[in-house]
Formats: sequence, C-alpha cells, structure tokens
Amino acid sequence: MLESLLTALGVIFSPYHLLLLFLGVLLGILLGAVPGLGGIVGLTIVLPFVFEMSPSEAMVLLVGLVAVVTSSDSIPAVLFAVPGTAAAQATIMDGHPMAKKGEAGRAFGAIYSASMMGGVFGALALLLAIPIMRPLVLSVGSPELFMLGIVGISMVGVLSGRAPLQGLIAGMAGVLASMVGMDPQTGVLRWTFGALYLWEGLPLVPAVMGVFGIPEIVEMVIRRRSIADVPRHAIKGILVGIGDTFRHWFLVLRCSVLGTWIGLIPGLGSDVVDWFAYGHTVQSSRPRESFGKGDVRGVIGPESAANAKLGGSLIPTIAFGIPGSLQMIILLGAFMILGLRPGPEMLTDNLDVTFTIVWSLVLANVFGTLILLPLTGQLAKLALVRIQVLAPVIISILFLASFLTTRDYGDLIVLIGFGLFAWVMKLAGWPRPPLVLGLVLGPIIGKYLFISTHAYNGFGWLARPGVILLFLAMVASVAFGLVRERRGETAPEGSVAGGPHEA
Amino acid sequence: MHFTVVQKRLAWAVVLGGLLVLTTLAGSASAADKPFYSGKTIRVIVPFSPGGGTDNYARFASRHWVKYIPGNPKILVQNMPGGGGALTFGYLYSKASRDGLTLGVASEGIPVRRLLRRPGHTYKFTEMSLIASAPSSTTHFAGKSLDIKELKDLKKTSGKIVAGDTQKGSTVAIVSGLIFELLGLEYRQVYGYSSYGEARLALLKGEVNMTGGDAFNYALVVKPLEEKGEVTILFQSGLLDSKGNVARHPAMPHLRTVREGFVELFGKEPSGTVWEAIKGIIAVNTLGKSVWAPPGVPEARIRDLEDGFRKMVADPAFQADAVKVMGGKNDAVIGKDAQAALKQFFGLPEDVVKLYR
Repeated sequence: MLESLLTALGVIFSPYHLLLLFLGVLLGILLGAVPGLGGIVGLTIVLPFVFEMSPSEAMVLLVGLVAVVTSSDSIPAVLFAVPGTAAAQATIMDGHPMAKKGEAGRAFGAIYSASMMGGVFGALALLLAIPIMRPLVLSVGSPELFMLGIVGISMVGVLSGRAPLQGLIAGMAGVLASMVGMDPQTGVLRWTFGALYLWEGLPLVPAVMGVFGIPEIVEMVIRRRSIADVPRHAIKGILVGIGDTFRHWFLVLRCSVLGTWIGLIPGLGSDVVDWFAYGHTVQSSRPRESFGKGDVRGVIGPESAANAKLGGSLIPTIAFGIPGSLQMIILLGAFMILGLRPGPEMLTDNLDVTFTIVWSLVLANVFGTLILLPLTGQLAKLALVRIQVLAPVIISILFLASFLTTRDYGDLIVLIGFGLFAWVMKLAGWPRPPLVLGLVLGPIIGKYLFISTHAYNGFGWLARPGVILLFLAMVASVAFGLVRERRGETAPEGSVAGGPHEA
Repeated sequence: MHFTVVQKRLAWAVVLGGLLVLTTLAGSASAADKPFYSGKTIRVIVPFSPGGGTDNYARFASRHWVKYIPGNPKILVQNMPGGGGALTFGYLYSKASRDGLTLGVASEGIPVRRLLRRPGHTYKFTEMSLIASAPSSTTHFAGKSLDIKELKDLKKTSGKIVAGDTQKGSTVAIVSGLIFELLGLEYRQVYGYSSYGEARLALLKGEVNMTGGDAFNYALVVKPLEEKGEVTILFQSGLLDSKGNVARHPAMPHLRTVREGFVELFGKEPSGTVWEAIKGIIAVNTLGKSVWAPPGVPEARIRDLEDGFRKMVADPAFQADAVKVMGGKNDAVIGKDAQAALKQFFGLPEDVVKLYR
C-alpha cells in the first residue's frame, strides 16, 4: 500500500501530469468564479479529451478541475452576494458583510486558506477511509437521511436572528416551494400549472441568486455607494485572513470532518454541506452576536467543509460506483470510459489510480490557493468601485448565470420572482436564509420520509439507533441555544440574515 | 486617358461585384460536390441531465458516429431536461430545424409515457424519423437477505419482496412489477430513489431486497456484485429478435430471460395479458436508446445518418470500445426496422396498456 502511495506520488510529479493538473486547476478556478458555470460544465468540456488519456492523466485533470471550483466560487459570493456555485451559498452570510466592511481581502485570505486545509483534509480522510469505506457508507440509510434533513431544518433557529417565528415561516415557505414538480413516488404533478418547465421543480441556482443577489444589488443601487463602506488595504487583509484561519484551526478541522462525512453519504448532495457547516459554526461558537455581520468564522467553516466534501464524495463513487452528486455521476462516466470499474478493484488492482486521485486532490487544493491568493488582492478592490459602474455587470451576471441553468425563460422568471419576494422580505425585516434552507432541504425530507415509511412499512424505522442518535443531537443543540438565549446572550443577526435596522 | 471619380468608383464596383459573383458560384459548385454534412455541426439533444444512461450512451455513440457520416460533421450533445422527455420531443416535433442538423435521443421510458399520454407528451413519433436504436434489456436482481440460491427459491419469497425503484412509470419499475405478477409473487415497490444506482446502494444496505438495472450497466456495476455474492441476478427482460421472439441481449448472453425463467419454474410457456404487457415493454427495450430526427428532414440526409450508424456498429473498433466503455457489444437496429417495433408497441390493446398505469 505504501509503495503504491509513493508510486502515485512519483507519477503525479512528472512534468506532463503537473501540467495537466495545472490546466485543470486553472479551468476549475475560472468556472467556479463565474456564477452559473461550475464543475459540471468543466467536466463535460474536458470529458471528450479523456478518451485519449491514460487513467492517471485523466484523473489528474478531472480531479484538479473539480477540486478548486469550491474555492473560487466564493469570489462572487463575497463581492456581490451571488454564489459562484451552489456550494458557496452560506459563504454569503458573513462573506458579503465582510466585503461591505472593507474586509474583502481578509475574507478571501481566510476562505482560500480554509479551502486548502479543508481540501487537504478531505484527501487525507479519503486515504484513511479506504479500508473502512464499506461500513461507513452502508451505515446511513434512508431513515437517517430523513433525520439529517430534520436536523438541517432545526438550523432555522440559528439562521433567523431575532425573528424566530418569521424564520420558521420563511423556512416552511421554502419547503413548500421545493414541492413544486413531479412527485417521483406517485408521478403526480404538483403545482406545475401545465408548464413543462416546472416538472423538474424550481431550479435552485436562480432561486438562490434571486434571494441573495437581487436585494443586495437593488439596495446598493438605491443608495449609490460602492460595496464597501470604508476603504481598506486589500493585500494586508489577506494576511490577516490567513492568520484567522490558523487561529480557528479547530473549527477548520471540525467542519472538514463534517464536510467529508456529508460528502460520503450519497443522497445529501452538495447544496446542503455549506449550510450544515455554517449552522455548526454558529452553534458552536461564542460570542455569536457578530455572525451575519461579517464574522470571519462564518466563512472559514463553510469553506473548509465545501472543499473537504469532494474527498468524501469520491468514496462511494470509487467503492460502489454510486455517485453522490451530478459531478460524481460525470466522473463515474469518465471511469467507465477509461475502463476503470468502481468497486473493490479500485483498492487492489487499481490502487495506483486511487492514490493518484488522493494526491491530485492535495496538490490541486494547494495550487488553487497559491493561484487565487495573489489574484484576489486585486479582485478585492472591486468592492471599492462605484456601484454605478459595477451594477450593470452584476445584473448581467445574475441574469446570464440564471439563464444557464436550463436555458429556459422560466429561469429568469424564477430569478426575478424570488428576487422581488426576497427584497420585500428584506424591507420587512424577515430573515431570508431559512427560505433557501427550506428549498434545499425540502426535497430531501420529502423523499426520505416517503422511502422510509414504504421500505420499512410503517414507522418502525423511528426506533433505529442512528435516527434516535441524530434526534437527540438535534434536541440537545436546540435546547442548548435556548438556554443560552435565556441567559441573555443574543442570537446572531446581520445584514443578510436579519432586518433593515442594521444595514 | 482620364477617368472621373465616379467612373473609377463604378469600375471598382464592377470588379468587386464580379469577384463576388465568381466566389459565390465557386462556393455553390464546391458545395454541390461536398456532402451536406461537411463542415456542419449536428446538435444531439438528450432529454435528461448529464450523467444518466441516455446521456452516457449519446456521448459515447456520437463520438464514433461522426467518423462514418459522409462529410464528417461535428456533433454537439446538449441536455434539455424537462417533463420526462416531453420538452425535448415537443421541441423536436414542432420547433427544431428540419435540416437534419438537430436530432434527439430517446430513452426506453419516453415511448411508454407517450403511450400513456402523460401530460406534455403530445408529439407524434409516427411523423418523425427514427434513425437508429441501440437495444437494451432490463435486469432484475435480489439482495442477500432474500437468500435466493437458485431460481426456485424465488417462490418462497412471496410477501417478503421489497423492490426499490426510481419512480412509478420507469420501465424497470413497470416490468419488475409485472414480472412479480406473472410469477404470482406478493411484493411491495418503494419508489423515490433518484437513480437505480441509489436503489442498488439501498439494496446493499438491506433497505430493499430487489431492484433492477439495464444492459448498459450490467457488466460494469451489477455483475461484479454478483461475483462477490452481494446480489443474485434473477433474469433479464430480454429483447425481440428479428422473428419477434424474446431473446437474450448480446451484452448479457449468460443471463436467462424472464420467459426462460418462467418456463424453468412452471414448465410451460407464459401467456395472458400480463405476459402481453411484459412483451410490450420488451418491445420498447428492443428500441432501447433511439435516435430521432424531426419530421420533414430530407430523405437523403436521413439515409446518410442511417448509413453512418450502420457502418459504425459494423466496425470492430467501435465494438471494442463499446465493450470497454459500456461493458458489452452494442448492436443497433436501423431506420424502418426499428420503427416496426414501435408500431407494435403503440398498437397494444387497452387492457394491456392499463397494466402500465
């Protein structure tokens, strides 16, 4: 095993492999930073070239590409409150307020160093998990997945700031909106109004862009100011941010574990990982008042989890040939093209390839951060540009990125609809994150509740140890929060999470 | 000799105009010599998100196909998910250009949804051109907990069967339900898994004890599980051969068909409405992944595309790659022959069709 590990290291350090990795990383950074594009687009672009490659060459390119997408997707999230991919939703929560405070540089420093550490940790987790992949993946059934969805919903409290009731209502509105589309269990069309577009449900990316991006840009344009209220030195901020990450190393570690674990469960998907990490960060940190107002911990947590997730999600793909996300489905397609069969063979005959993947993950994350750090010193200055100049660009990005989702006019309607709704919410002081959380978790809860009751024929599954454990953990964390609140500590709220009073 | 400015300009205009006419003529002359598809790009629309079986097949086949179409065009695979294929086929039927540069790929489920007149499925297959189809066949396998050593053990599992499926109306779900009916087994179907991959994982977890797949992933992901003793593969639905008999899929020559399984268990040939309904799905499986052109595409272009497909599947290099990528040989039924299977399917009597609902 050690020998293959070193062989793989030797392979990846050959000039050609390094070049491919570098190309993959560059493409990944570019696609992550542009909202609406992402790892899936990148994989479909490079897939035709994979046919002519050896397995190790292909893996270096593909893994390099997907590994860094979740690093650079925070650039538009921090600067414009527009997530580069679905994995950067929670980064907006504190990243954008940081940019408003003139701390965009600090945010980027923290994000890239946290991403790198998370990514490397995910690779290590992949390495360590190789011998115990099977029980790890098989231990989580549909009832546990349902319970995880419920745990996620309980985070509404954390995300609602001073308005828990409004938060709950917004969360339920999100769950309700997520029910649009064809119900896979019965084939019934729910709230589709005869529109084929709605069969697949409301698309997440335009909705999230509407909820976060539109109200921010509208407000900035009305006020006619640059994104940052106070100009500061971007470059210096980056070093401060890196220091922040190292100071909160234990948070990075915890969120990396969380990210890896969510990644290795097929069924949860990449949309939820950053919200879970954000929820955990807020729940486990104190003081909590500064969350939502530009607390650096609020970007460190989600970003380390987002990059750690890839290592985790490779586990079921490699070990069972069961992909946990769309990206992994395409990666699995590449496996087939290369003649690699997922399964135990990947740990015996093709162990070299598996280790090449591990090393690619590590190197890609390091490369990605080394490329991004000097770049974003300049990008952070965008926060100082007059909004009259920036707004047309941001608005075009919002519309183009939304339209790329399915290339249907419906995407634009979803963007504008959610945008208007969210703007009104913001004016009225209602928290918006629970709306997105409901939209993300709604399908998971509905799906696994249905499967659990049917597969276990009733509600006996509620007595499964995993279900009870998750339930107790949830109750404990909610109760803990309530007790602390009664003691007089205020819950977090901020310019994204909370009402109009603080902006 | 002196020319006025106007005269000079006129002369230039004449020279330029002449050149223009000459180049256009030359262009059209060479266009007449060159095949239509030369220098063109064909758009192949996949009605699902990237990464599924239909998408994989489209991307795999089109990569080879271009080499055999006169003029060697480029192919661009695009995804247009929506309405379980209704969006793509509605677009192909009524909106897509009729020049042979826009094509679509159907999965097995789309003709079923058309037959059942699901909302949105209003296009007419009969007016469109079926260029070629790659036959598939569903597989059906059981998990460890059912403890099936040989086929006759299946009889003892009645009432214990919990089958995992993606959604009501998927071909695997329909045919496995019908198979249990045919064999007289009591069963429960759990819908909602996002793919048969996820259902397979649920089988390994013991959440369900029966699920299915198709010929395109059999060798790559299902057979290895059987070799490890994780699953027992019971049968394949099979496909219709040229005489209309149920036969084994070429990628799964060792796996018994449902018909063979029935004969083995009951010692007689299957018959009745349920069997007719299963045969209907087998007809759709025989169609498998099918490539369609919109109505009204010039006959010559359709023939170019058909010939290309025929040459492709005849090429050993393609078949070698098919074994590597899809895990088995990939035959194709071309043009009119393929359309015959579909006609049979759409002619099914109502008492058979209602079993699909």
